[in-house]
Amino acid sequence: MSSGTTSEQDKRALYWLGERLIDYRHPVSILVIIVTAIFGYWSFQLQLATSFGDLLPQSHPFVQIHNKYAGTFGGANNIQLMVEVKDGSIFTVPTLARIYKITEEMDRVYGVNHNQIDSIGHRSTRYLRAQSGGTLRAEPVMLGVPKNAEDAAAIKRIVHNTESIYGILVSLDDRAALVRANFIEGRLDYRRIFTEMNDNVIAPFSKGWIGALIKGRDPLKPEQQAPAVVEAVYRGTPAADAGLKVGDTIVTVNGRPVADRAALAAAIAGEKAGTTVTLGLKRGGGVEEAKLTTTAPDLTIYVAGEPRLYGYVYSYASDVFWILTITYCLEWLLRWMYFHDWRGALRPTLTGVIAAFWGLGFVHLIGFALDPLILVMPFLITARAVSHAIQMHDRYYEEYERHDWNQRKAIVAAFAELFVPTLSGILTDAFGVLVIMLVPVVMLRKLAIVASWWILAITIAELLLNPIVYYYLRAPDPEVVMARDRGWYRRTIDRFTDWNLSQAGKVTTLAFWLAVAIVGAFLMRGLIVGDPTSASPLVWQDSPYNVSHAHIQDKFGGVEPLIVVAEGKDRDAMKDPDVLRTMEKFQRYLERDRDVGYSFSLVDILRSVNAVFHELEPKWGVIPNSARDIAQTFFIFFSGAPPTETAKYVTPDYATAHVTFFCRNHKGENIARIIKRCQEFIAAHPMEKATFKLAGGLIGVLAAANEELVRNDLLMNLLGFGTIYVIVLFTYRSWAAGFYLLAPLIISNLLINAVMAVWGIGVNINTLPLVTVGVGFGIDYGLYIVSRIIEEIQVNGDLDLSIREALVTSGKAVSFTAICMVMSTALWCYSNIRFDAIMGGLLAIWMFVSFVASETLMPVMIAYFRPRFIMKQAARKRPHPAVAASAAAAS
Amino acid sequence: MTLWESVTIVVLFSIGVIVADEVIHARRRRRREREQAAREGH
Repeated sequence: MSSGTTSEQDKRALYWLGERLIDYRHPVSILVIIVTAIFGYWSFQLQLATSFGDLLPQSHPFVQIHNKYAGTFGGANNIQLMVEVKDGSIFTVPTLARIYKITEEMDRVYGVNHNQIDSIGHRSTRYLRAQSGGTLRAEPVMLGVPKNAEDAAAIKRIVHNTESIYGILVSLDDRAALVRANFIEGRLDYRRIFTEMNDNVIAPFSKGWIGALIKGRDPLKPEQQAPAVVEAVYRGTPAADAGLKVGDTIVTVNGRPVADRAALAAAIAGEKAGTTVTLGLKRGGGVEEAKLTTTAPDLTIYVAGEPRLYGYVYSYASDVFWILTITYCLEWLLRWMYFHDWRGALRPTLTGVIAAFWGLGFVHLIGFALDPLILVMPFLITARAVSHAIQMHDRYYEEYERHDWNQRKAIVAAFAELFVPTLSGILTDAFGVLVIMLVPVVMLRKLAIVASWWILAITIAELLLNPIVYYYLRAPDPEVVMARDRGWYRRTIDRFTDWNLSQAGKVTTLAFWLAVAIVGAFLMRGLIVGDPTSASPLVWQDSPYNVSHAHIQDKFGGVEPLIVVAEGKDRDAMKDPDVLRTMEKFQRYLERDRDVGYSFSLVDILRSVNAVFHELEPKWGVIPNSARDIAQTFFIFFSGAPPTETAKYVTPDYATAHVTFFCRNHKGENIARIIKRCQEFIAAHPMEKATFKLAGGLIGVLAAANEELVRNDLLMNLLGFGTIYVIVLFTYRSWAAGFYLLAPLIISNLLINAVMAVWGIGVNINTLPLVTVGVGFGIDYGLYIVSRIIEEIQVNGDLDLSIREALVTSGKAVSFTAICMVMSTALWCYSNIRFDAIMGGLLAIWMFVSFVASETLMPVMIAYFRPRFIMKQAARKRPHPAVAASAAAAS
Repeated sequence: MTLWESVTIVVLFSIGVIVADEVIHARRRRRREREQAAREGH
């Protein structure tokens, strides 16, 4: 391949194109405005939403098993709610009443699978009861709200004698009860679930509790108002002290009307403990007042699980607008200070806004919604659009001065001279991001397409519309243009460039970056795939979500399910003693893992029923020997329950059941180990009538996602760099150019992986797209500098002089762009969403390293190795290409 | 903060910067013209 740069002939064509764009400015701008308006309209239709299915690698066998059985045995979207009393035990009438009501309200939350709720207050949680005549019946633990202390004591007795409840739904110290609910994945509305949980499930029974049961909405008429009617008043509570009576309707709190239980709870929860409030009561025919003194809640409700986690993420999403507003204002100020002119502040904004409309409109057009966790991505693309625009604007001012304050010539020259590096930068980013499509996750594939399109849309504003916008805007005052190039900023750049290109500077630069690369490569070995801690990395460690999650894990040992399906080859396979014994062995085997809290399967029911059947003799807590005995035992337990309830344990034809392991955390390494152990066990214990299939539940789908990430991570990085190399190869028609331009990127990539390893940030489905987009970060910095070196060497023929000139002109604009981007990206660190904050911080570091390496390492490498693709241009001196080509185009 | 509040703030801010910039440059131009007139008067 011949070495060289864009030929003069090409540049002439670009000058011609620039001239024609100005000539046809009206039709071009009208066309762009119309299309932008359409995309703008679609942008405003866009919703924030997360589709759980889109987050999973659908082709992975684990996910296929998960999809097949999630509706029956439970999926990955579980909510765990723990009620913990501050003193005493949960076996008191008011606490048990609240657990019952909480369960009832949980059953009404949108999207809940009514047959997959586990709680002592739910109809599907049963125990065996011996009846007169020696018959056994499986009855719900609680048939209703306990009325008195005897009822509470009876419930306590049942719980303590039921192996599948004690320690699993009620803590061994009797101080906490767990309510577990599974959600239907097609009906996940995280925002709605979050609000309904807060208003109807949590507030009325904790901070909004007054010591009285208040009637809720009728489940059969949920749209009808249900006034706050008192159903029961408990002794020694604020309600009892205030003189509330059964049948009273609470209509106001401190004079403000309350429509129902949720409104009453919200009003009470807003008051500090010890505050006296005035309740308006409808009693009999009239309205009376009662003084109620609030107390601190006697129990705490903790909630964890994926739907809750995403609910928090959505509730924090409005932070984004604060960050965007502050970023915008700060960037405007910086650009105004740099260019000394409002046009310099406005023009990059136009590019950013137009590209954003095209990008967001396209997102809506392809039926995709924005996930709050990837909001950093659009911000980043917009920042890159702004970055290209700053380069262009700086070059426009430079050409304006060079062309003796001729606006049209300056516009065309800036357009033509920056066309190649700008387009190369955009194409590199746009095609680089497409490598994310390698991961078979729908969300990532959609994201890759959207990001690629969005980046390509930058060309519309930056290349097509740019000369026209400059033509419409009044030219700046010459003194403004000159002021830009004379201040302290320019002097600093001058001084630093002189040092960097001195012998001492070159040696120091090479030594420094070599050391950085070695340290980065050493530290990045600790990079983890998956989540590095048991807490969710999406929100901060001390966030309400992670606090709740940790409390529940501490109390109940493990709540994150791994569902292994025992798929029978024929009906009644789950009545086969060998299959059931292997399931039991599997449970005992995996429970030895330190991160598996406990497990549950059909075998647990079988053993406890068998024991009850034999007067609770522990020796009978075993699997019966024959299929017939097993069938009879199952019949005893399941005969009174509807098929919808039994289906969560075993399919109606007894062909397939599951073993669910409740894990203590979802750390990437632990998931990998647990899955490996499962595979080892399954391989060592083949069954004649059934096969174990991995794996559903949160742990199962995370294992699938992690496996896909491990499989594709290295390949994506290689392809990302490969794409950049190929585009640089075509841009400069040189095999060597790619190595010079990729050097800063490889170092920043090493360093960022090292930072992720040191900070304990795992590569997961959320971090991957940002990390992949980052691969191309800074390539435009290098492109602008190298193109300028080539341009200068064509004029002066001296490499060192050309490098210096490039660094103090294009390099200066690069440094300003990079500082703006680093600063605005770093503002994300203030987000309540830890993921956004961490990603913002990482990307800021990434951009900073790329920028510094492009401004120091790359020029020093060029100065040392004097590559042919640059040196060839020094063969003969020419007048400044901008001036020459401009003259040629004009002639 | 909602989307529209954010949009309103950034639009008002931008207008503020543009107006301030125009005022600053107009003052500078006037001062320059005055100084030039004074120099020519001498």
